[in-house]
Amino acid sequence: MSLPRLARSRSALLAVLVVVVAACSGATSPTPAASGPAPSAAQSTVPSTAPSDQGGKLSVGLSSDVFTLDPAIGYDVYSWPAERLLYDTLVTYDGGTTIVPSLAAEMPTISADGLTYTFKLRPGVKFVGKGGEPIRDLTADDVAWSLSRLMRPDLTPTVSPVGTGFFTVIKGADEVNAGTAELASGIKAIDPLTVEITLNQPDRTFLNILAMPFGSIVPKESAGTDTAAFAAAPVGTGPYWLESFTQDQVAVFQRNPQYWREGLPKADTIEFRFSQTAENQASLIKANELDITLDLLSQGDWAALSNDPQYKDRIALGDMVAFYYLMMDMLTDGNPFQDQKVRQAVNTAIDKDNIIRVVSGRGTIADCIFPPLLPGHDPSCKPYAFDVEQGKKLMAESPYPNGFSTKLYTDDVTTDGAVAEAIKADLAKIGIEVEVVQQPFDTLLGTMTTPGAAPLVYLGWFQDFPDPSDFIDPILSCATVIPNGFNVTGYCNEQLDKDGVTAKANPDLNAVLPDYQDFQKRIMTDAPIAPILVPKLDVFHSERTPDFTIHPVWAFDLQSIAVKE
Amino acid sequence: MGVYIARRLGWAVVVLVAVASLTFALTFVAPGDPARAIAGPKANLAFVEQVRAELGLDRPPIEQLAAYFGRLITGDLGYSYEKRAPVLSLVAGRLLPTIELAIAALAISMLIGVPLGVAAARRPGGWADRIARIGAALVLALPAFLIGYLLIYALAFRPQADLGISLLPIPGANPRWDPLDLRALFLPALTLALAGVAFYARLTRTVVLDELHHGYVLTARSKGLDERGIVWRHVLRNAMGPILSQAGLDLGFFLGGVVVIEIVFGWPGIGKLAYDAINSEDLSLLMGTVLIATLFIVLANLVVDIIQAFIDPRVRLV
Repeated sequence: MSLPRLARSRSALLAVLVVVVAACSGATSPTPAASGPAPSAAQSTVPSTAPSDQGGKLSVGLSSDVFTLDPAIGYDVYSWPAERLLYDTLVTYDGGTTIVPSLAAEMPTISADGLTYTFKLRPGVKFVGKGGEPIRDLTADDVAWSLSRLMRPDLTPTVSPVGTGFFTVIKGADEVNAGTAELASGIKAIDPLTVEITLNQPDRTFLNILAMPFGSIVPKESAGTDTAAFAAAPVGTGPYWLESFTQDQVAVFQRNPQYWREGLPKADTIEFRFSQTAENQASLIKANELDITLDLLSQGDWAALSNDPQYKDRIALGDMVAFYYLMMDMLTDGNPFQDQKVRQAVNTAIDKDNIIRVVSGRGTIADCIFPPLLPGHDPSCKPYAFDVEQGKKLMAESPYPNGFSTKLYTDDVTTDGAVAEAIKADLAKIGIEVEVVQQPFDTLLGTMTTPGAAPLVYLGWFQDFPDPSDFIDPILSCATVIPNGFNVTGYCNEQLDKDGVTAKANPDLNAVLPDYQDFQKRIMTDAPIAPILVPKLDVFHSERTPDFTIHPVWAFDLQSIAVKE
Repeated sequence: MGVYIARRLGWAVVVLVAVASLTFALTFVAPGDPARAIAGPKANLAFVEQVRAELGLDRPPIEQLAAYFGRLITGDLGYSYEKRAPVLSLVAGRLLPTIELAIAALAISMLIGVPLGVAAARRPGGWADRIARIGAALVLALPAFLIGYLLIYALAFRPQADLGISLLPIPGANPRWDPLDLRALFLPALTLALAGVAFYARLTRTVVLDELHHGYVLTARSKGLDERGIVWRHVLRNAMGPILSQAGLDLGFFLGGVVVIEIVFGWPGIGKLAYDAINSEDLSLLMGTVLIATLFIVLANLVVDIIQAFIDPRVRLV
């Protein structure tokens, strides 16, 4: 899931609250194989809210701009919360991890073979543009257009196939991605309010995929191939419309008067304030001049505020369904990380206890791929104990007994830089000379998804949805070894991919959890990555938002935050 | 005078052309593929080739340089694919905040620094001299970002947290830049000015002390003019040459963007833009901000030279 988002350790957005996930894991996804309409959640989707909870202005701080407001290409912790203000998806999550209808009037009918999903759309939902004026009603054609558009190869100014990987399960997706078809043949508008989606193979996670902001429904006449143009004048069905966007300064979202969901949104206005340092944002929140920040607290503020009786109750805390890991490029010819012994040596050489100290305890050690709150977590999976001597031995047996020099890329978050420096010191002990390069998140995304550009990358992976396949398919499968893909390591194990497809076709996640536990052990033997830590999320908020809680999937569900003036 | 100005203008153009050529050379010196660097790290290969063809990067360097100057003359500084906008419009959008900050900072440093320097020169070793020297050592030793955060804490945050009064806004309190919001301007300008205060105080002290030893001062004193009049009306005017030169340089430098201050205060100026350009490896934008910064420094020098020529006729003979 969102590498990107996860990458932003600061925003931590994807973080799924471990506890919630653990509690709900079995029920997280609807079972695709069941035929017949799933129980309608239309009425119970969102608890109705007293009007008194609504109104006011919510101010949200970020340390940089939002990269994009076009849901076809946004995939990071800043873009997603903003996109979710403007657009809706067919299905979404309730306050927890249960999928509920959104633009769909009810849960879809799923064919017995698990391949065909039929959605009835909610009637009378309006697209709105600037001014909150209704433009027209949503139709089934918009669904076909939107889900195909995100896979098009001709999106400009730059192609971003980040969402494509999730949606290739739809029949006809390959033709769209190859540029030979405009619409995926597997998406059919049966009538204006009925859409049928056919998959290539059964996929337990398909509704989770539709719930991602990539699955936002946008109107064809506004959302063409120019993503910059659409981001500048977005049109959607979401709870807000975009009033203004001043680069590097502020974006203002106003309540959509046409919004169909009862009781939402809470605040009348949401303001994104860009380009303030984490320290300034914390000062503004202390003074109640800013309500919430999408950034993590700086190390200094975390140490001070979490021990200050005046402020500590205003820090919402949660474990994330995420892990930070070191990716090793095993694809580029001549790169030492092509050698398995080198990769295993790296795994044994990193002192993770020290790294937890470096992050001031805002995390726990990751020994394996699946974090504790993800279904499939296996506490016994500890393939590489910290052992510098073993690391030296493995290096001596490798084609690089005298070591080598390389570069480690990470984002510009202070703690990520500090962890990278700690890794550098550890690897020096086994003869690997590392130069640490910190880049802003957007830039790093470009660097790491350019084949051969980054031998080592340190970043986090946050769940897109609570399913172990989300910690393998997007980052460690053959299908994502593509330019701009997130399998930075280039790791490709065809047998593992085949086994993964079989496991994913099984609608009963619990039945295949042992398979996933086996997959992660096989991957760790090949060692394309070195898991480092599981992050914690801390969100400092103002007194005006006393009821703020971390959403188990979105972390920040901004439209649900009530502001008390 | 006309010849003097023409000569200075000529040199200004030479400097600009030289810097433009150097920034152009950046495209070749920078590691990797210039087309990829300009298209941005996220561009796909087809797009990189498109940029290469559009900018003529597949042609000989001399031809490329000529084309580059051709574009510059028409005001085309290139296109930032990272920010998805023409460089000129991006830079133009940041000009006013940077100009406002630069002028305010320079005004504060001179309004405090010059009188302090004069007072220090009149009584070397006296209180003003000591304040200037200790203050200078302190301010010059502290990095600007630290001074910035300390000022934010002491003058913006604490009054609000302790007393509930908003003495000065915490940066970001009003996220939309407003040229008339002088309260928001004060802290970044003061932070930028503090080092300047120390510097101008020392510079003024030195040149005023030097002037005080000239014969005309003795003459003025022997005519019975009061000391204050001598210093402020005669000595300071003669001492203003080096001070103005420095002010011109500073103004040009500030107008090129003050990176650290603009980041600490979230000030949407050219320095922040240049910082973003470096971070995002946005070569077009970086070249554009470097050129604009150079233009300001050259222009500021030119203006100072001309003003000096008016103040002190001897300058024209140099």
